[in-house]
Amino acid sequence: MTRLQTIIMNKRKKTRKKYAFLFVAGVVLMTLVFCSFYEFETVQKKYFYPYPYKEFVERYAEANGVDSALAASVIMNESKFRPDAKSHRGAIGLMQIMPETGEWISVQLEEERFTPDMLHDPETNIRYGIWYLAELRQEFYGNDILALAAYNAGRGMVHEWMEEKKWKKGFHSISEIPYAETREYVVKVLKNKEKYQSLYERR
Amino acid sequence: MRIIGLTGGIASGKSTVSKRLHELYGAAHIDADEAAYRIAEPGAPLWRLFVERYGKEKALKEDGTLDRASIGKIIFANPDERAWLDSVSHPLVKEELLGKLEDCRRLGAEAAVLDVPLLYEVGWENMADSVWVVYVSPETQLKRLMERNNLTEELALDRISSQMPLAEKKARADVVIDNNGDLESTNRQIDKAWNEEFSK
Repeated sequence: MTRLQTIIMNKRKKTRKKYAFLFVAGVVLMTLVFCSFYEFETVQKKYFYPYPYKEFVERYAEANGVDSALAASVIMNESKFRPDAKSHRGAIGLMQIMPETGEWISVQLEEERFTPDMLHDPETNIRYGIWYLAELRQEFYGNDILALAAYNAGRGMVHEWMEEKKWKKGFHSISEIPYAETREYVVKVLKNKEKYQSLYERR
Repeated sequence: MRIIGLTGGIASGKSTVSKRLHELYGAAHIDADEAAYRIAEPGAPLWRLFVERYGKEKALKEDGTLDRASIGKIIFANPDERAWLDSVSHPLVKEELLGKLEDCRRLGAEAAVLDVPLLYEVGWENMADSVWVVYVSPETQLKRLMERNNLTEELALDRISSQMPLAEKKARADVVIDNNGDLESTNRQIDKAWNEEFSK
């Protein structure tokens, strides 16, 4: 081989190497982009919108005719899915049910031998909480905003507001809710409901 | 969890600040006026105290909720009753606020805004890690208050003068938000204060 031939061959090798490098880099980059999309959803599901007890939630949501994403969002906002959550006022568990409310629910469901302790059990808590949510939706004309406000502030309070402020069945101006906590609760639950829908209800 | 005490004169625009901190930065919002209402709901501690002191006849409406008009009459006509109410309600509100803060902490909130109109007057500034005071000029304050609460000038002035002078609040505050300008100017100050809050 002449010296010139060697030089040309080396040059060709280099060019090939260069293309090979570009190709590999391209593949890596595309994989990364793809992964990050995939990862983004996984990370969101795992850290920001987790969904443990999904089976229970779906089962009792269906049984009571409630949107399961709405129920999941209520749990997220009430307890971040922690079954041992307890509020300073004594609300218990995943759906933060007050012992008196639990007692009342048990009477409505004609279940004997209720003790507040039972609300620490995730399945019972979800069963009671979702039943109560369905009951509130019915009481407030299927209006999610009023039902959620009642879940947070109490049904009596919401009836009082409706009377005082002349809210109608189709009430939808969340900004008129007098309690800041309740107002923000309703906004957040509705927002998170959409998140649960988009992340978990397969298109 | 960082606790921001938010205060300022009546009608100074505190809600502009709390709203932005909640909506943009996700800070929990705990409102003292609301806590005062909540402790008077049927079965709650202040409701019980009213029933105990004035009897169901005078304290309650037919549906079991407080008869605020009837109680208001008693309280305003009688300074001793007013003193009694202050002495029992302040600790109860404080307890409710502490409970709410604990709830937020347990749920992993990074920051909470403790919205207390009379934070300095009742001496609760130690509940917060830092205190933000929102203020507007007396002219703007008067105009806003008259419009918002439908008050005569005299009544509005009464309300304003019953509070601690603004200058003193400003002097004691960690952050002062001037709400005299437009919304953009207020927002800029809020963002700056928020960033500084978390770089300390």
